[in-house]
Amino acid sequence: MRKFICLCIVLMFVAFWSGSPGHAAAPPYYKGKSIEIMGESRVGGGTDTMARIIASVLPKHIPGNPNIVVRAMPGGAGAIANNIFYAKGKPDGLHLMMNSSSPIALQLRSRDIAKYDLTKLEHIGNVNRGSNMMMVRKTVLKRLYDPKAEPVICGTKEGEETWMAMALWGKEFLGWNIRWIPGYSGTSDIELAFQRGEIDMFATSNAFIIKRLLEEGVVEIIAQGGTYKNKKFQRRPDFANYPTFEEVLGKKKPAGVAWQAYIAWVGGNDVDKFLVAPRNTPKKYVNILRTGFASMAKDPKFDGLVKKMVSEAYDVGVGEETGDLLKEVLNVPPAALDFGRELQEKYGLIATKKK
Amino acid sequence: MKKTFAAALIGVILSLLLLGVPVFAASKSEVRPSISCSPSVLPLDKKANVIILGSGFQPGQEVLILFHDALGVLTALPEPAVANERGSWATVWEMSDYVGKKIITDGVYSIMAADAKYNVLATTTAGFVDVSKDAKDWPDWAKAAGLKKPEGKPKEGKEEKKKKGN
Repeated sequence: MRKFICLCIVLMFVAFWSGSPGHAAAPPYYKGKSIEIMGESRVGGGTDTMARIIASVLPKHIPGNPNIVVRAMPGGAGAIANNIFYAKGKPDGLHLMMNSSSPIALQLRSRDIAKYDLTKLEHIGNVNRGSNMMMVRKTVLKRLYDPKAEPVICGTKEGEETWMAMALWGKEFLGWNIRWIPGYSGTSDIELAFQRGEIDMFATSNAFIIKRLLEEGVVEIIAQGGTYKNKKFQRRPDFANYPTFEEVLGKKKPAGVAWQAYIAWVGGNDVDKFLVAPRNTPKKYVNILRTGFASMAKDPKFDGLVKKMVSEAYDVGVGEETGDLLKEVLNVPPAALDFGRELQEKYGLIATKKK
Repeated sequence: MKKTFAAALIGVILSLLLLGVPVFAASKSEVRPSISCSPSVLPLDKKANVIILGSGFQPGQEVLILFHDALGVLTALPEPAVANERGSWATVWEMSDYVGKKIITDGVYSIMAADAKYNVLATTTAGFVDVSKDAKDWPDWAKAAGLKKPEGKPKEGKEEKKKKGN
């Protein structure tokens, strides 16, 4: 009988131990899991496109090769998605968000709308597609410089895009004859409005859109934002024939707080599209994602897709590099912020009330 | 010998139970989730809508609709469908942005219904046909579905757009 009981126990132990998950080496955390990348823009917009490019390359750079699902949540220039993500984003390494410069602008100038702090999220990496190109429909270009003519209509999300600095400062310091139509959900929506003839002017850094409109011969590029380096805005290499807005301003370039405010406004473009995880996501997952992002950035497939779908010239930042850039961009002197707000109010863009 | 055999049998059964294998689980009749698309073959058109219907889900369950885009990226529709008290749901997929931005191109796509963790629960298929192509170049399944080439103005080419722009 004793033999019988012993045999039972031994057999049970052997069978249980050999089948237990702890016996084999633990599989990678991401194996068999799905990561969701929430995009804050409309399907097919710049942020969504970048999310799709990342989703198509990143899985093979993460141990366990998870699925990545892209899900768009447009609205409020990114405020809706960001507010939800900041308040309710699950810190399990499986929920990420593809963000853009518009929510940076909202955090700077519209604290009543933006219920988030982008610096407190976990930063995985960013892709800067190059500066914005301001485009005007050829047939209305003369009206831009004629204050007596019917205003040229500029389409915008909430009047907060980084490129809106060119339009606002152009109106203030160059006398550009512009009227705004706000309320579009993103660049793809604005571009559709342009195609429909609803608006005549907008900007984007998406080379794919810019080149297509140039090929169609319907637009003139009047200025580019440029990348701020060594106290001067530099032209982007793939559109080197077009002047920066600073060059367009020439002698009319303002000094002091007015120029400081301009630099602060366009700063978000240096971060451009950035991937974040929710606050308090465990470091072990953040590190896996950052390492994967860095490896992805060197992948020829990623390079090919970005060049084909977005921009010939782009920069990638990883992890704390992205976080530091964000902190720098969001650290704006109050006087410079006030100047921008006053311009928005003066020219009837959606008012962002001072606190 | 008998004792050894009995011990082995008991040992194996107990260990299987500990591992969670449902040795004695009663077979239950379950309604498996299923989904369908209406129409299931349609023109690749910005104005097109696809109605997706599902049944056999948990009442109140949020169901994510997924498909692989032209790049092969798994894409979820922005809003989940929610099953009613009978476990059924219906939702409309507006094709506008997906076609306009070439996220969907012509071809056959698997449409999937998934739970909140993106576990796929049911699949169906939908075929999109580029009806601007010559009808003789359409795939057989598109011809069999009885799709017709749209009548009306031909698409505006680049030259016409250039003229307008100037």
